[in-house]
Amino acid sequence: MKNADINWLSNLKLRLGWGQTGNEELKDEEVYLTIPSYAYQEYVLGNNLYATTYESRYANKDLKWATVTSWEGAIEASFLNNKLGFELAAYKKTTSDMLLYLPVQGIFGMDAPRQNAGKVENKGFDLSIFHNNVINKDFKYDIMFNVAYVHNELTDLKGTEGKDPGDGRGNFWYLEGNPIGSYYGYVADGYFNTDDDLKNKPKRTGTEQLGDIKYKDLNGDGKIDLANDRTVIGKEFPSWTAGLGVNLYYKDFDLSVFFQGAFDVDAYVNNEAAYAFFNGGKVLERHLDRWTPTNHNASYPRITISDQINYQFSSYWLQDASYVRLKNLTLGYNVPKALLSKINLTRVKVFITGENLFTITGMDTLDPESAPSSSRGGLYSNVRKISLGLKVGF
Amino acid sequence: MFIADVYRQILPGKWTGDIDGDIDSDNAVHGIKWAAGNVSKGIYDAGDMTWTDEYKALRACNVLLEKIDLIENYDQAEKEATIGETRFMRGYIYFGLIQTFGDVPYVEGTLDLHDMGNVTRTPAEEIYAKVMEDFDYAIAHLPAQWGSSDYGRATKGAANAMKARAALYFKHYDTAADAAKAVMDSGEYELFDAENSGQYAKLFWEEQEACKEAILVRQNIAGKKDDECYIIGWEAFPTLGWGGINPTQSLVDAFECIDGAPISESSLYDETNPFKDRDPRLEVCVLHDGETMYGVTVKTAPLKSSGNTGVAQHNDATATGYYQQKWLDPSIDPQSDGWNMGKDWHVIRYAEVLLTYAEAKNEIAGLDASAFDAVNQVRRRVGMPDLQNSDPTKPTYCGTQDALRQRIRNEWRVEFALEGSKRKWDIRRWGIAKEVLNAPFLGMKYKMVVDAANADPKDEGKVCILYQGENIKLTGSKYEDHNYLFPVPQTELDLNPALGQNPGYPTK
Repeated sequence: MKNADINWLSNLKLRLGWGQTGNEELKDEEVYLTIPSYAYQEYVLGNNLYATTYESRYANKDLKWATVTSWEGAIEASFLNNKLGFELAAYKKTTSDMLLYLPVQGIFGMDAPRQNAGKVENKGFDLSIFHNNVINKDFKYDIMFNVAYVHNELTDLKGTEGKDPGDGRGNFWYLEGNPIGSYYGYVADGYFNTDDDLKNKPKRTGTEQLGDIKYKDLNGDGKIDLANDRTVIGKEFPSWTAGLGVNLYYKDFDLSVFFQGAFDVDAYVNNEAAYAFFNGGKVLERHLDRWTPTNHNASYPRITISDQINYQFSSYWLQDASYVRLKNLTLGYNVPKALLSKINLTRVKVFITGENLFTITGMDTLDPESAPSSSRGGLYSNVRKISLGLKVGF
Repeated sequence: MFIADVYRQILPGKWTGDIDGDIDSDNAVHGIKWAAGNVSKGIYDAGDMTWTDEYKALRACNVLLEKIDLIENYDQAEKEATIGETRFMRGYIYFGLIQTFGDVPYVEGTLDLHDMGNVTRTPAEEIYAKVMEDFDYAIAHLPAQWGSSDYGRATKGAANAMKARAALYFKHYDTAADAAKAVMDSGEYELFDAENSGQYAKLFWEEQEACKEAILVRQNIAGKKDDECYIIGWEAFPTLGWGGINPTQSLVDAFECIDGAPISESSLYDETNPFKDRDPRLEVCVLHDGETMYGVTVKTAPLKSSGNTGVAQHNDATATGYYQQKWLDPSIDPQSDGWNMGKDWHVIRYAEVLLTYAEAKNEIAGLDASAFDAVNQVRRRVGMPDLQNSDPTKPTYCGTQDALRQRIRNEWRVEFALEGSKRKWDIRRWGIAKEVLNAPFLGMKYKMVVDAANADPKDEGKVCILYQGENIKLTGSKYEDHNYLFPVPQTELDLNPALGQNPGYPTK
């Protein structure tokens, strides 16, 4: 490079890799069981507590190592004396014989064990761009931007499909051609707005009333049922994640800003976080925008106290959880050395930091960062925090 | 130890027992509206169904049966008794499965992951035969009683009683009658308070644990950590807790008058004062306006002055104007002890054996004397006059097989009201489900009159007269012929389409 006299290019690296390893996710101690394990419970016999035992885990004797094969290609370059640069890595990681809790029939009589399931593929790229500059002796800055894209797909499930038994919350499905964490439910299609709708459009139970959610009849048989009218309606894990950090330095001040975002991700919102009068509770002001004969474009269906007809798992309650959030903003002031030497301190810095200052998102009720993990709003969401700090060095 | 866990998994009686089962019949509706579920509204959704718990317990039974011979130095009689318990549980579970779903997969041994492929459903008749075999083995090898530290395990009597229940459901009357007779002749069981000293209500209170009417129980002890019993916490009426289940007008009307006549025929019945001179079991079952319970006087009028107990005064208040009283043990504080009780749950009790015998004998040979005798024992216990076929002038006269059949069916209803999933299966077995579940569900009658002088200040000049005027109209249920069986669980069908769905329910 030096001989070639291209002084605008400070660094250029190409990287190509291939690897194959066994699966390392053994944090769950019971993954590779060889003998069935038993657990204790209790029952009352003779008016006393009596210990009982039951088989708690099925030992899948056919388990073998999952194999991860990955390809990676990357290019790293920087220009103008390392003032500007990027790294772009593209990869494809295939896990075969992946250890999944494949759904198992009820007649099996045990909770679903892990099995070597099939193939899962993760394809994507990571791009990071950096730029730094010194304008003059008082002012310099650096910027770092990174974005990652991943496409996850179950490429081979050996012909099975079904509810993900590893997920306690409910309606994720394993379906070939779709990612892990696929929401599976009815497709909502507006409301029953008129008596004509009630008479002619396909219904699920036959007890629907005006203002209830209408679903798409996917197989065209005129009825809505579990067997035929559900499909993949969203995904739990974002396709795109990105971050942007900017640091500015002016004389004794420094300012750092960090944004974070995720895109193409959905979160399901239900129960306490969405339904009016859920579980005998109260109703919220936003429920005022519910379906009425004069408000057909409502955000909520017909309000009821206890009728659960609209609470089927469907795209109605699924929201786009994409967001951009100002995660951290810190402004600091370093007391000049000249002043410090008089008080025998080596360093003093005061700063003020704000976390989670604002968020741009389509979600109206829950925190998009934590919502995909808890549809009821049960996780304590990220809070906006402002703090003052003082760093002193002796 | 291993088989005891199957009891824990399967027998009803934890939490609130099986009390809520009655909302799926015409006996009651749920006071706690969110707990009503779909079946009580007539919605049989394959997505709500599951049989995983049953098959988990079956697997445990099969593991035991496969491996029990491997245990060394196992006394033969003890071993056979444990096998007896296991086969009793297996028979009990399969009976429940074929009652609910009809044909189901019959799993004989423990399954490996590879065996899952081509499982299909076995016809219910074949499974019934195996259920009977399992019960017969249990009858032959279980002891009549266990030692006191093992009280709660299945006994010979329990196996006979359960065999009778299963045989009666599938209309094998000879088998049912014989099995019931075996329990009656064993001398181990008798009705609680058979001579009627007025104690009937206590059968449902904690002080009657291990009485001789209980054939098989699931025991609870106060303060237990898992699966604790909270019947009273759940059922105590709104002033002090949740709402429990609310009897319908249909159930209230089913109780005869003290002269042995149905209310439509009795001269004693006064519609404006309906709780006077009635079958004593009505008072035990139904908490109505004017009674005092846990220090609160219950007022059910839909007025503000009724406080928390009035109809529709808050979300969990009664919808019908009646509350259930059967389980309200006055010695238990509903707000504290009511949430972790020691009440044992009767899985099967002696009165059921007597009514099974009566129904079966009447079906085999109408108006059989032993049928009268059996049903009359249940009636005498609460002081109701005997049914007879000798004196046509009395209202207790049953001149035809069908007359006695109807009276026995009513006896089932009033004896076992609000005790769990009895009525919902009874109406299926008798073929009357379509009629009773599609009929309107009604609450008590009341009418509002303007009477500013006598009205309570909160009631805006209105006074409510109970038991006159119009019935409260409830949402009700529905039933179609194919609902005799419940739909096969959707999750199972998704994984194994070869199972096929029951007729009348949607398929792919």
